Amino acid sequence: MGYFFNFVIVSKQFLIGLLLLCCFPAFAQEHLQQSKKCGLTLAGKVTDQHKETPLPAANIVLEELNQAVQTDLDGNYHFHELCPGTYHIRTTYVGFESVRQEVRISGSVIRNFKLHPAATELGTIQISGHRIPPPATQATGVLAGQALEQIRGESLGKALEQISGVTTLNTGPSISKPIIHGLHSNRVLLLNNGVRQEGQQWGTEHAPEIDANVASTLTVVKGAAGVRYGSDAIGGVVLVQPAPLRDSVGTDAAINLVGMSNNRMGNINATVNHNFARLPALSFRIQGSLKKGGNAQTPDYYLKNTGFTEQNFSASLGFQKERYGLEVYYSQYNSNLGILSAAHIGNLTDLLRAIQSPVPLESSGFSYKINRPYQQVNHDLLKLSGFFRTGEAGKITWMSSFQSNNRAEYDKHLPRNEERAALNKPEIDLTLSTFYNEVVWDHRPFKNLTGTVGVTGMLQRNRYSGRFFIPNYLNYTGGVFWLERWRKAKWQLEAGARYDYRFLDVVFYENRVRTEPQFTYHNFSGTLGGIYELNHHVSFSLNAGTAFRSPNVNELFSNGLHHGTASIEIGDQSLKAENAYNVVATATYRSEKKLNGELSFYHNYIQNYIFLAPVFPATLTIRGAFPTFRYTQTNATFKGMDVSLSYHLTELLSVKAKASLVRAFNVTANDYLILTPADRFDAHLRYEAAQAKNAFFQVGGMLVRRQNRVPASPVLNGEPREEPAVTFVPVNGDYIAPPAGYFLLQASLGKTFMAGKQPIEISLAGNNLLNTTYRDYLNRFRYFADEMGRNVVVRLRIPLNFSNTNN
Amino acid sequence: MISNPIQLVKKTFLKSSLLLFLVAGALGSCKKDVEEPENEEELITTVTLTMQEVGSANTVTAVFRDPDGEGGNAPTKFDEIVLKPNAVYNTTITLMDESKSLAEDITKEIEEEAHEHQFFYTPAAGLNLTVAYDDKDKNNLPLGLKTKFTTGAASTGKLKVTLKHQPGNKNNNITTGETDVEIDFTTKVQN
Repeated sequence: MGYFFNFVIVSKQFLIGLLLLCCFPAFAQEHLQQSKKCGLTLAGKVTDQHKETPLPAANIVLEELNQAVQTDLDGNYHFHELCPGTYHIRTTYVGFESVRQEVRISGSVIRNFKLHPAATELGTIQISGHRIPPPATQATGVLAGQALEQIRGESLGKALEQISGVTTLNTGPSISKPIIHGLHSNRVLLLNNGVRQEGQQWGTEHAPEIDANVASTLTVVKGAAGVRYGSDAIGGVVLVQPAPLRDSVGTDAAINLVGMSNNRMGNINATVNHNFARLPALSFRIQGSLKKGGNAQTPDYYLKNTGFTEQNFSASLGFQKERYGLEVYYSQYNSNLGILSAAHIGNLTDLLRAIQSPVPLESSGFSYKINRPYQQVNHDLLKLSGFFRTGEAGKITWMSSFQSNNRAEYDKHLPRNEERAALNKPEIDLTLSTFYNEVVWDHRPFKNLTGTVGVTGMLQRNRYSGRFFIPNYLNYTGGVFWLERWRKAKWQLEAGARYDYRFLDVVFYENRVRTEPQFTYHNFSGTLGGIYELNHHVSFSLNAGTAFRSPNVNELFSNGLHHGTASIEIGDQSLKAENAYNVVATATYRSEKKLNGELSFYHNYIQNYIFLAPVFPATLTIRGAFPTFRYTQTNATFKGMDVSLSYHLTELLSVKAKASLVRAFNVTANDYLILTPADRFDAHLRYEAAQAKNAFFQVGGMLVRRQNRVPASPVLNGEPREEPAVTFVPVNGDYIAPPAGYFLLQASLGKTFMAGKQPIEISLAGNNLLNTTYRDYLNRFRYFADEMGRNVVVRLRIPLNFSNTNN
Repeated sequence: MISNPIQLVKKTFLKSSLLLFLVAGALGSCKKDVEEPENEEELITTVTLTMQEVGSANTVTAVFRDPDGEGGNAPTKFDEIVLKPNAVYNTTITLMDESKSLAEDITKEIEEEAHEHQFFYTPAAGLNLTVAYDDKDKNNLPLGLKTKFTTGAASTGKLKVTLKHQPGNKNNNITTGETDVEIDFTTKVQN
């Protein structure tokens, strides 16, 4: 079966637990003896995960006892005279990611650790016994462990900004969407615990409906990844992965507290994990978080009505045996987001007045109150999944999920009619229900080949009430894919293909006349990639892939005023599907102690790229002229470079730097594309205390250049209407020239304190410490208001362990 | 000992996945909605200016009509205002919502909430027209549903008609509050 370890069954009680361990080759060996006396030994070996070489002088800390040892020349370590119980072991080695693992000791135990060389953007990684997926041939970035703890409380979008090549598209201080290599919204696929997130992601002011607190690992696959993850993954994929369920008997919990000074935001997150002693195959987790923030503050004024609240909850229950397993996962996301009232603009006259005003036309003091305009978003996800190993044939994994997404947008003012006003209904109300199924077969390794074949199917229904913005529709999609990976010596090659089909059945009313336009899209995509490990330090990877995305309903049908952005958006039913042809080349250098770095270049050619181009003149309405944007199609290229480096000046002092550059070009019009991230550079100096656990101090900053690569000429409105009286001269196809570049100073420090045997992790971080006044090109509210000023964030994490020492 | 339960699980697994696909089929056969969702939102689609010349039976009307609201189709009617020189017109303005199957008169609602609304009439430079308010709200601030238009010598220009919603902050200032109406009527003062 290919599981390279043996075990000794001493007691029948441990049979099941050991069978369970078979699934996890990360643990090499385990001998257990039942004993309730102290005097037990914990021992093992620490090796490099890639080269299998022992790591001498690695630090092993037994947190509960505050004991530390170092591995010997052969990478072996020992702890003696231990009492039964559950312990946390932290293994650190310079140049490698630390591993923190829970070990339940009821007899003498051998536990081996395999450390993974640290990539620069990686922090600590927690490996808790799941099979580690093979490295992607695309460029990837991961946030986990300490790096993730240090951004707790941030929205998912903001959290992902830590990864090089990822920026955010913002609407005010509370709405952030990830941009990967210059692409965002529907071109970035979000996988929430393995499930394709199906919300109204088309809107630039629609934040991902995912609580970042559920994640123990955030992974970003940069570049087209359509074959494995399905259509739409043109820009990349964001994987939000919760930690695996507990695999040893007992209970643990963690509480996270976050407080921010700027908007007086408070966030509490609590997680409880339990594994049943009587039925060790059964585990569950319950997690919940609450968040509340008020008006954000720029250096000079408050941003009126930018408060928000979030209440989120998730629970999972898993039953895992060696050969089969089942899991139920449910999560709920509820948010209420205030929209900057000064950005809710009437018409072009008002827009110009708002743009010309140096401060927002509506100001306020601090308040938590959320008034109109605001958005209320709820997302429910129910996931059922299971796997079984077929012995000879391989492993079959099945997943079914149901999602319900509700988005209600409340305009600035209530209806004039008092009866209607009393109902306080949203002006736009969209409900998207999605049922998604996936069956994947990982076939048995054949010679040097491993591979996956999968079938996916999705059924989706959208309904709206209130103002028309996108129509009601039914959407059916199906996909088949096959990926194979060949490994030999220094080489890994991957090839895959996929076929996608989509049928879109729309109910559309135009002037009270019902039509039912239907659209069919289908496409083949492929991927070809390889990794070559030149030596212990240097590896190269290259990936060429295609991905496709059929036009979204809003791109086909939207026709009207988008209050959130105070603009009229016009769809086009004749839009074709987009096809992306993407090449990413990555070089990685890893020396164990000194230098680590990664450099990647990419080139993404998108045929029939759909974008919202401002059109002039603005549209004339009874409320005056409105800025107008039309969905337009062109051929575009996105090319760029991401680089990240870390260098240890001394054992304790290190420098980390990263840079992301994107160039987006409209090939057809021979012009730049609007809303492309400006060049950004990030550098930090970090000091880690040798003795104190987890103590660090870091200072650095981020430099963002002005975006000078903007379209030179505006796109003219295809259907010119009455020339509005306000004549408006556009600047570079936009309502205002891009704002100046800026530099933000950041610093953070942290330490783990022990309150008796209870560790408490505390960190303090300051963003925009110089209280710089700036505006960002990728904030839709750059026309009206400055960005957030200085923000000091306090984070507290209390890991709790309720494990019964005697069971 | 091990293989039996696996056989069993295999069976239940297949069964449950079959069941789920059946559920998928059921969801798929859902009927599409028959009725157009009613938009309860209030729209102003039509603005009518009725100008009654003082001392004459002569009435001039000018209409702006955009039945599908903002965006969508272009306005279906956008009249010019044609007035005589050196004359006085008693003018009323009415607002309608004609997007619904039953047209609604919005004017009454403005009247009821007079203290939160104000019309502004702004003739462009060169247009020989002056507009005076002929009505007031309960706080003695101008409203503008009724006005007096006084023309001078023959001229042409735009007359900007603006309705501002100023809940709680009405101050006779065009820059305050939300814009509900803003139309530039081409106005001709001629014989």
